[in-house]
Amino acid sequence: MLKRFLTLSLTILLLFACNVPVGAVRADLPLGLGEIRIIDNADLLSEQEEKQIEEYGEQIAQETGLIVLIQTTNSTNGKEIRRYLADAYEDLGYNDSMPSIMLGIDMGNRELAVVTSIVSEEYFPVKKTNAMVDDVTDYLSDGEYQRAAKKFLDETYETIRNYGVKPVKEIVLISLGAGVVLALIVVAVMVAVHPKLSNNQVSASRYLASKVQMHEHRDQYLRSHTAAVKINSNTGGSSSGGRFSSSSGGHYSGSSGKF
Amino acid sequence: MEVITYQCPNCAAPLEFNSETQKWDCKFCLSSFEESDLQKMQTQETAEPEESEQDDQEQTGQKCYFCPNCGAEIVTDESTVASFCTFCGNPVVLPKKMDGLFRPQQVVPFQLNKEQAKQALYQLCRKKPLLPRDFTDKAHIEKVTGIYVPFWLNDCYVNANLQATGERVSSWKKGDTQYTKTDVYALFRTGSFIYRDIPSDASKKMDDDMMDALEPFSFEELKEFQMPYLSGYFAQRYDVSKEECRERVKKRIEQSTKEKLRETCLHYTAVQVSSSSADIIKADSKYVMLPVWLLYTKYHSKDYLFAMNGQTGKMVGELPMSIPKAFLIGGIIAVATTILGTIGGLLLC
Repeated sequence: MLKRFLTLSLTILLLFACNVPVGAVRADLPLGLGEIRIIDNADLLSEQEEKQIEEYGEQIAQETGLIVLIQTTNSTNGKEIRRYLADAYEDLGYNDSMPSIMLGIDMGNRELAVVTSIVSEEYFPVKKTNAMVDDVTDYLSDGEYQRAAKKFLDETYETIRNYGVKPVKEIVLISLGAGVVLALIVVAVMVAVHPKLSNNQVSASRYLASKVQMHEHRDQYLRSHTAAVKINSNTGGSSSGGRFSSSSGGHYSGSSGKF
Repeated sequence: MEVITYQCPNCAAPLEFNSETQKWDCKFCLSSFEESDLQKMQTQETAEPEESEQDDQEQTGQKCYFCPNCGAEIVTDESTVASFCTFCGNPVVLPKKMDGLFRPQQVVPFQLNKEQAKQALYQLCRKKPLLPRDFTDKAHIEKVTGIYVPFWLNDCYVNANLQATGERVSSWKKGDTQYTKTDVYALFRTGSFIYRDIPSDASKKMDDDMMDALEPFSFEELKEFQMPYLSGYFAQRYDVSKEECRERVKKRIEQSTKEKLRETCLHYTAVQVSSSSADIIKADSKYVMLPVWLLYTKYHSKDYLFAMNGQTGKMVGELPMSIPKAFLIGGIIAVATTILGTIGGLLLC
């Protein structure tokens, strides 16, 4: 009975998984200029590195139709890094109606930001830009600026490529994992509520006929010791994100963080 | 050896103790009798010995008797003092086996009848999907058996002591530093304890831990022992002496005195008991019969014993679990969740 049930269940599951079209729907790619701009004011990249990134980014920009901007600086002139980045983008002649993605690195405050124009927010929601900031931060912290830029470009490409593609395999696997976990929880609860009768011995104290007559009740001081622990202040940073406006009033979205 | 069947003076059918009315009922003519009526009947029977004198013979530690009702052989072991005839179902009591030292001083009569015991068991099994069908089967639950188990009730006068280390911890903050001060004390406690009626099961056949777990019994219901209480139940006489039982009682007392003395170590953050002991200065024991419902189950070659306090209804024991049922339920849930999750995931994505 059990074998028959499991075989049937697995068959249904496999048939079901096979019938779902993999990569079912793919949304339109953003239609844009498809170009990359690298402005390395902080001199984080060597000429060769900059060239390599530019070539690599060019391909990605072409394929995705995005304007890709990588801007580094030693100072944002007191501006919040995302706004600084959006302003720099607009200074290059672009605006918020063009599909774009930007990476900004401020070495003065050791901050970074990933910003997208409002028309590209659909592809790069705050959750995504937060994740991109976190991923890039690891490389920046290690001083690997070229790899940080490459990671940013790779994630940009992957995000656009996978946009609208239903991750059937992941969904099935997650559902299966959730199913197994739920089954384990339910069975564990059933096992827990399975009548396990308490076989605990009743304490003999129950049969005490009268109160305890104390003959000795003595507490003797032995020693003391004191321990001192320095309190650590919390120095960890966290990324923040959401919609914002550039100095000219353009609408953008993105995340920033420290490294 | 004498075998007694308490018979209805009206129709001669066997009488059985009714735990609800605390009287003896005849299931055939529906008569009901008080304890005093049975004592009168017993006196008359003793005065005029029955014509059909019973024989007994020893067969490898087992005793053989003849049912006064149908004449069939009833084979019991040395410690059985009340049973049933396998052929006619007649309840029989073997009074000679309870002579002298083996006569219990008191008895707690059954308060729960077989129907109540079965109902409690059904309730326990309700909505418990992992119980195997063999166990929840009505025919199996019918096999629940009432038995009077021999117990020693122990009165003990005890001197006990405890030595421990106590810690008082205080904590404060100064600047960016947290200070924790621990004061350590040696604690000494000595006290006298009086325990009354600590039960300890006096039958080798019964699992000691299980019988301990069946407590508490209400000893306010203890009655002077009368043979007719055993009619309609199985009963054992003691085969573990009070001295042997007292060893187990001592262990329980040691644990109890340790707990009680530990409770007097107040106002400490942590108490570590380094040593404790309890000496029984004086002890006295009383031999009594206590009511227990038992159900034995064999499942997948393993024995499971279920027991219920025949007075309070407290249930103890281990109940079998069906592993195939657990796999089946888990499998259904996993497959259903996977299918629903996949559909939902695809729709939402």
